[in-house]
Amino acid sequence: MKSPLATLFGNSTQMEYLGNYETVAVVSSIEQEYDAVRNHVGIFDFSALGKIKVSGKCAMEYLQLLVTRDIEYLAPEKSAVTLMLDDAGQVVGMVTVLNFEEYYLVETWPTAHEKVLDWMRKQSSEDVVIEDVSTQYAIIGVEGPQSWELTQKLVDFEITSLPYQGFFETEWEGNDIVVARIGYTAEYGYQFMIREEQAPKLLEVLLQEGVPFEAQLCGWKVLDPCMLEVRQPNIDLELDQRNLFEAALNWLIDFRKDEFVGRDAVLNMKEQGFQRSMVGFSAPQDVNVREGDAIKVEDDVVGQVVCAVNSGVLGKKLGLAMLDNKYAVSGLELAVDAGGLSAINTISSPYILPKSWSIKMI
Amino acid sequence: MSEKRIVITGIGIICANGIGVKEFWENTVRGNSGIKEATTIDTTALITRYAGEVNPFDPAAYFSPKQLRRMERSAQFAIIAAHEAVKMSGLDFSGIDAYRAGLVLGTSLGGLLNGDVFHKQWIYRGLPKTRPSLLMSYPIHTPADWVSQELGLKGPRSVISTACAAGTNAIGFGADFIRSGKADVMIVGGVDPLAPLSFAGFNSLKALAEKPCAPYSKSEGITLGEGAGILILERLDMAQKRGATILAEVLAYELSADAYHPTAPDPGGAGAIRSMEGSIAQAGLEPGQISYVNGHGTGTPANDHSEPKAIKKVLGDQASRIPMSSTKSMTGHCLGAAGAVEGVACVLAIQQDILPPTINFQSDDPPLGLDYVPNEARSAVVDVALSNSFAFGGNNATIVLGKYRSERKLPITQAISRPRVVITGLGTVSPGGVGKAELWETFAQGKDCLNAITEFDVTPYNSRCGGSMPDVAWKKYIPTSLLRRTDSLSKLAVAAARMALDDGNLKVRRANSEKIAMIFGTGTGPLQTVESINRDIITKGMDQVNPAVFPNSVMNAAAGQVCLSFSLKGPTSTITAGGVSASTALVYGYELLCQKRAEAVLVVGADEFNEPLLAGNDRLGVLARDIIRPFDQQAEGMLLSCGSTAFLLEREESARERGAAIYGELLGYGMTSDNYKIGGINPEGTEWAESIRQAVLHGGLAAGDIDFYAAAACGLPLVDGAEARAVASALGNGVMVSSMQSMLGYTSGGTGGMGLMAALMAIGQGVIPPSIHLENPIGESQLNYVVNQAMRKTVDHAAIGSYSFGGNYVTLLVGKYS
Repeated sequence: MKSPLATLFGNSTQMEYLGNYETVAVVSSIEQEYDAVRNHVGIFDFSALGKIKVSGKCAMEYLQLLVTRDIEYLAPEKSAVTLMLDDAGQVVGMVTVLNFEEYYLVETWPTAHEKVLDWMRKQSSEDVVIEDVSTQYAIIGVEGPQSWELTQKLVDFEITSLPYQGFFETEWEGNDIVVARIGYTAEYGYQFMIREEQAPKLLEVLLQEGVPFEAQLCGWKVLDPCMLEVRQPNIDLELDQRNLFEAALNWLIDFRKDEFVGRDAVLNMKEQGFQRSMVGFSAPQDVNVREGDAIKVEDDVVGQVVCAVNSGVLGKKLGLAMLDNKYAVSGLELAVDAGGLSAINTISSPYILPKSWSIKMI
Repeated sequence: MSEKRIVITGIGIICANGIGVKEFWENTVRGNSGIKEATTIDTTALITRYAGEVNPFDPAAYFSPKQLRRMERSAQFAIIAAHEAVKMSGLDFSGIDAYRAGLVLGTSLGGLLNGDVFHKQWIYRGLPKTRPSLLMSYPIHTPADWVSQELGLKGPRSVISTACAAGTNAIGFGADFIRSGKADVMIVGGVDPLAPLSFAGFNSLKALAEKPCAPYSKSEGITLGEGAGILILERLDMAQKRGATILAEVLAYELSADAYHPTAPDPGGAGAIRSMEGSIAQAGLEPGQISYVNGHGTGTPANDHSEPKAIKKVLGDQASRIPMSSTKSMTGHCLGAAGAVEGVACVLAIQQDILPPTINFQSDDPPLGLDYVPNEARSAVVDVALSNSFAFGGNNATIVLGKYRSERKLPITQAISRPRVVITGLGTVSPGGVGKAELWETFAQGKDCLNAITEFDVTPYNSRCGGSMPDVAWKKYIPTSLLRRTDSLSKLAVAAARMALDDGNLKVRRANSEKIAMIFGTGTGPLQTVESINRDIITKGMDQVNPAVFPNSVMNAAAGQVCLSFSLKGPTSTITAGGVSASTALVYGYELLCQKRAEAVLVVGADEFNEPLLAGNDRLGVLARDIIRPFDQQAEGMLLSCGSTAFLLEREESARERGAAIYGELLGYGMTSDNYKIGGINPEGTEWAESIRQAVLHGGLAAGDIDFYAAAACGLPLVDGAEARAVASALGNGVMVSSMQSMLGYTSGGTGGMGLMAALMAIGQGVIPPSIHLENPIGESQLNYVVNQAMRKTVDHAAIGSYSFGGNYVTLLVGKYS
């Protein structure tokens, strides 16, 4: 499958598969796109996100049982990020649940789309209607310190009133559109959900209005460093074969909630404990550290590199490592075997301070 | 419709910018600031030294030494301003029916300064060496009681405590009593003193400006102020008849809830927009007809960014033409008095055609290009002034005042009707049970729900028993995010509210959320929280307040939590009038429905039980040791308890339209007060009886129609005797009487709510709950008590009593719906 905007973002040589979706990995260069996100505005084609509509009399009760956070009091026009687990406590997907009052929309990462949809259908009951509306709607995202100003250019709604994780339905040039304050990079971030056929026109206007803000088209790849820098969960990368306590994703579970699928299993996992944990590290720019590289203390291997990227803000390599619990703390100097031993430092998140955090909208 | 139009015939003020209207207005017009270094508060540990203090001020010039021994600063301010206002109005209270003259005061702290002194004595000298008389004038409603006593009022009396919106709200609620025909004259306004609690609290939030505040320009924070503003509201035709000078007219007011955040305003000002637009519409005006806006203008960045935005949205392209100023720049932020002080400023602006300035205004680029009347007053015709007050808990209040012009058409006066108001949802949490079914089972069995207190050590006290918080699966009723950071009062309120919404099957959706009002009544408020903050201030210092806890200390915090939890965005208010609070909240809800300002009203009454409450009451000697025996000759005092009730009120047609089950009909109410004694009540029950008579009359019934009277009697011989006399005098001896307090204990402001639950049970099931521990009824009157066992009897109409120490009586009347 391909986004209706794909050709506007890049040509076939720039395509990569994310799940079943062909997406543009890099539009110009990682460096340029990174600069746009961290200093101006990056415009993303998030159409590949799975979009699953849940309606029916028992929609809330149904979803409430499937997700790890409490959505009973999720107000209309608000969203929540949560996990969906299977009975064994394994992650089916990380999802964003949006409450549209008449129905809920479940947004998934492209790679988890099919799995989440299958799982939801399997768990369905008669008072619930599940529809995959992924191909009906495109999603354009804007992320960056000035993205709120760009968003305000398109809508009358006072954008400063839109709280984090809030959204509203409005009209744009006579078309229904959803504007949500959802992002992945810890900069101000907004998503526009619009009928597929209207999306190219919206993109065009965003690009025009974005000129004063130096807005740039971005691909999916730049999300890797941007998400890692602020420890935004990147499930595909971080979870891979690990349990969610090891991957430090347990904060997405609300154990005060009495009942949800997988609750007993994860409680069990918690009781059994775990020997290793995920921790962030930085390394000099020139160290070619890669996934799987061993991390050592003297001659002992104490862990592996999970992922590593270049962090523009830090001017260093930034990564995650799975370390024996004893070493899974910040502030240590360890050695990585990346074709020869080099020093790395474990650090605590967030690893950078996004510019948006010092820009107050009001 | 002249009997529904309300004019202002007198004003009085005391604040940093002047004692008395003349001095206040001269200073205001000159742009003189009353803000100076504080002398009554130790500011050494604080961000600022500045405050809007009433200084110099010599109370001895106004009050006798005897009065001063008991009267703290709030009461003093309120009385001084009230006397000035009454004098200006030329009203002679001896010439009017005292029951037709009432009072509504807004305040955040009330008599708290007396509480501070008591608290210090308790901490440093021990409870036995405290001065109990301090507590007689400590409850939040005592400044209102003092004023009422001074003026000899016997009409509806109430106290609003919606934090910084209280003053404006109080003017509006007072106006409601005249519009509804319950009173001809209402003394309204607000009062608050400078207090360590406010300084330390706002300091912890880093909300205080180091230098005197500079609203709408530098906006570095607030400067606290103190004082009182009082207005005399009068029915137009009566004011005209006696040839009074009319200063201005109350055109309309509106309230709204942000349902956004416990302390921060909605940054887009959505709630503020609703209260402004609502009041403008009720006044029959177009936004462009507003001549002047007295802004909330606190000087905090959050307010000063969001308020102008909201104003601009409301006034549209006229916004830059319509001047707006913050008189807080000269008076400081007087909290519960702010709206009243600013109301007085608006009356003067209207009368004198002068716009008061925003001083300390330092900007060449005013936010959003509005006219903030920078630094200098100026002349302009002020036909209509709009005054805003926004508060913690997301409470917004806007009032619109105007020059009196006979040709004005006020839609709000047309909107008022006497619809049938029905009760469609119930919720409750108390030692008597969780939910209506458990409570009604307790009532049916006549179960004593009070136990030996185990929550804290009772050895220092005489009283050993009370009502414990029941086991509640809170998570079923309260958002988990709230559960973590809230106090027991909010838990009680939110859980009962949730039950009532569920029970009434009312779904709050975007389409109706702005049409659902929420009125809260609490007698002692979040006392546990206030006590712990105050204890920290006393023992550790002014800079030792936990900023996460301070917002829970305002009386309306629980109401804000209810609105936030269930996205209720309609009018909201909090009544803190002591034991009549829940009853008065029901009255307020009833009036909102009569005025069509809401489609449904959620009314919640709640009160906590905690050690400070026990200590204070024990010291006053009003508690029994282990048994509460209302109406019994052996009664020796109250036992304290906690609990909450919630009621969903609707107009009959909306309830029927959505097919709601109806528990009963709220037929009417009576509100009176006495001037007997601060902290006491008239033992003869004269005024109490009048409130019962009024309720019966309001409901269009005769005394003999009342089958059941749910009493407020609480085991205090003084109260029980007064109520017995009142009931006998108003209803005769045919009515069945019982007191729920005999089973549940005394829950202060919650009393009326529990009584109403009993009345609805009697009406619905034909079973009247009993008064237990009643062996030898008191001899004051030969009432028919339901003794020790529930009684089967058809009940078509029931009355519910409630009283407050200080002499305030509210009687509700309910009937079977058919």
